[in-house]
Amino acid sequence: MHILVVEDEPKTAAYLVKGLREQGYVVDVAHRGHDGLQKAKSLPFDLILLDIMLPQMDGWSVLSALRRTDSQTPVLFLTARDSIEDRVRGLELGADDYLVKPFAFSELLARIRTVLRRGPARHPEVIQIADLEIDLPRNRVSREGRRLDLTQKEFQLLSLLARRSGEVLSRTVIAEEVWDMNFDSDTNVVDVHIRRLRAKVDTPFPIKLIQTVRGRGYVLDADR
Amino acid sequence: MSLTPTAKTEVLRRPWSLAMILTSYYSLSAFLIVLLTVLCLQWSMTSKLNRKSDQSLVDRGRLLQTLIQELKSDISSLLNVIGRPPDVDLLPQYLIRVTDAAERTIAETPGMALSAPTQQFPPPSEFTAPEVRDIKSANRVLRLFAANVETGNSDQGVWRVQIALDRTQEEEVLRQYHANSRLALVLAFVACLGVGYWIAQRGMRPLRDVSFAAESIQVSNLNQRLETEGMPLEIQQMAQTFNQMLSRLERSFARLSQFSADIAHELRTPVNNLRGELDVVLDRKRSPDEYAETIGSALEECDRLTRLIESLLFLARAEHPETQIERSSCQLGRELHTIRDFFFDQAEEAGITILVEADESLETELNRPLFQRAIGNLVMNAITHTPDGGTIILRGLRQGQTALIEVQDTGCGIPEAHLPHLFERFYRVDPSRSQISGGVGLGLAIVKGVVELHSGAIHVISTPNVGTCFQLTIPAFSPVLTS
Repeated sequence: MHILVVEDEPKTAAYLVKGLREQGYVVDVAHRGHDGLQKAKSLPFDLILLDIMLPQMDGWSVLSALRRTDSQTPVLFLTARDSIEDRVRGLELGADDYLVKPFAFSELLARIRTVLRRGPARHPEVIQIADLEIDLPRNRVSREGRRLDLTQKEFQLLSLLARRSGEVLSRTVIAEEVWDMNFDSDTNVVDVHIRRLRAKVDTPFPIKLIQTVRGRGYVLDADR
Repeated sequence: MSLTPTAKTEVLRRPWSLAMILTSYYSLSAFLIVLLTVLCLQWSMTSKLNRKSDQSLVDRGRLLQTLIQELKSDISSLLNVIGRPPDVDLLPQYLIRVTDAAERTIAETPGMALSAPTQQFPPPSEFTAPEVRDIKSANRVLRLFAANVETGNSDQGVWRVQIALDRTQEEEVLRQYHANSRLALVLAFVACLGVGYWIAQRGMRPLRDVSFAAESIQVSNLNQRLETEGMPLEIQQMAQTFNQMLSRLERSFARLSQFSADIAHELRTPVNNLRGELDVVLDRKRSPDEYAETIGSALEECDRLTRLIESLLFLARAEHPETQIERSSCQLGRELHTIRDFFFDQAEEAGITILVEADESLETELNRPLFQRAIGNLVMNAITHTPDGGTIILRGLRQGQTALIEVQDTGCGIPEAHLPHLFERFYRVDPSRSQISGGVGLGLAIVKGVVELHSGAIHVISTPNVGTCFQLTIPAFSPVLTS
């Protein structure tokens, strides 16, 4: 997967490149709008990350110039401006998504995956991670072959972590996906839910599956 | 004090100065009064003099009639009466001529034939309604009058007397008077202009004082006020209005600068944590776990900063009068249950029960993320301030066309003194405590912002040691179409 990053801020560009390369993407960088447009036209990228506030030629212009010749390559806007008009304008010009700075890197990865996946993701009906087995259609969870008794929300939380196993999920994403709450706060509401889930899923067993990643969130991973 | 841009006024027409308008009105009206007075005096003087002349002519005529009738055509006596010129130099005041019915002169004052010939006299008229005519003859102004006189003698029949009155002196007096009046009028006009201008300037002085004072007001001296004492009533009112405006501005500015100071303070803490942690960890080589721990902690501070920035941005937008939000129809009861589910475990760990009492059929147009944020903030507050064993009730009730949403707790309550400031940004009931609970004092300001974006209102009822109830009223359906 080949990604073009058009970003003038050197630090932002540097960490984007580093983070994306570590995730296995091939990454090219352009620091100015013109260069970005040139590269986008000469190479077949799978995705373009485009900053809006660029010197001389801004992100809007790059996108509209690009869309004249290329209507396929997905474009993800990165910007510090998040007024509704800006969002609408970006989407009207043909951007595929819009991410407001500051964002969590895991959030960016999730958006990139969504854009690249194109179309609904297919989930297996039964997820098997180490000795954990989740039967999604039947709402059943077992470890070491023993049925675990989870509430509806606990089941949803566990299956979210399992479906995106290996991916660090922020508290915001968890609140959104499990409780349908668009809530972003300092409180440890999600932590309490995780603690209760752990008490049922991890505490009785030798292998701990749910890991806390300080400053980022939670991940379900057998190998950490 | 017009708020229209000055450039526009200049394109149109240069407005009149108020002083000029007042000056012209004052001067014109004063001058008109002077003019009318002068004209009136002139008219009365002229007519008085005229009447006096006419009267003397008539008197003289009557005297002649009596003489003619008594002297019975004794011409020589008559001539004595008519008189000769007393002196060659001195002209007589009256010239008299007596003619018979065929206008043959019987007797006349010497020299009269030259200065007042018969044909210049008006036709004879009655003494009661004298008809007179003014003529100019050899530097003299004469007023002529003629009357028929019964001689009482049948063969002499009717005689005619012609009397000329020398009015040169009167005319001279009048002429002089007119000339003086004109001069007086010119002087009066100049004086009116001057006095009018002076009055206008004097009347406008307080206005100029106000404008001068207003000009000198800057952000740095917003505490200055106009001295209203001694000002005319009308200006005093204006100055008071102006002072009130200054007070409002001063309060707003004070709030703004306090707000900026608060922001700076709130930013300082996480940035300081970041700096310190990173500084310390770079001081020497450490294990990867230690690095990971520090970086994770730094990320937490970043999240804290991000949330602060987002809250501030949200408040700035909510304050902007043109900000519109998208609203969609939601089942209020279901929304409250969602929020309850989210906070249920945390509340349970604190020994608090969350209940929902909602009209399940109530549909309300809401912006879901904002609504969740507002109610979430209230629930979080309630959990923090409610002791073990307490209850939090989320209510959603219909009240005509509005939805009433309540978040009620059995917590420690809020002292009454804090209630009016509760929704101010960065206001904390207990500054030392909120730091521990993680809030920065924006939560309730955000709740208020959300409610106001929904065209609603928020109230709080609180009794210390009994509990607090936040009441939100939101129109169930948004008044304008959502975009």
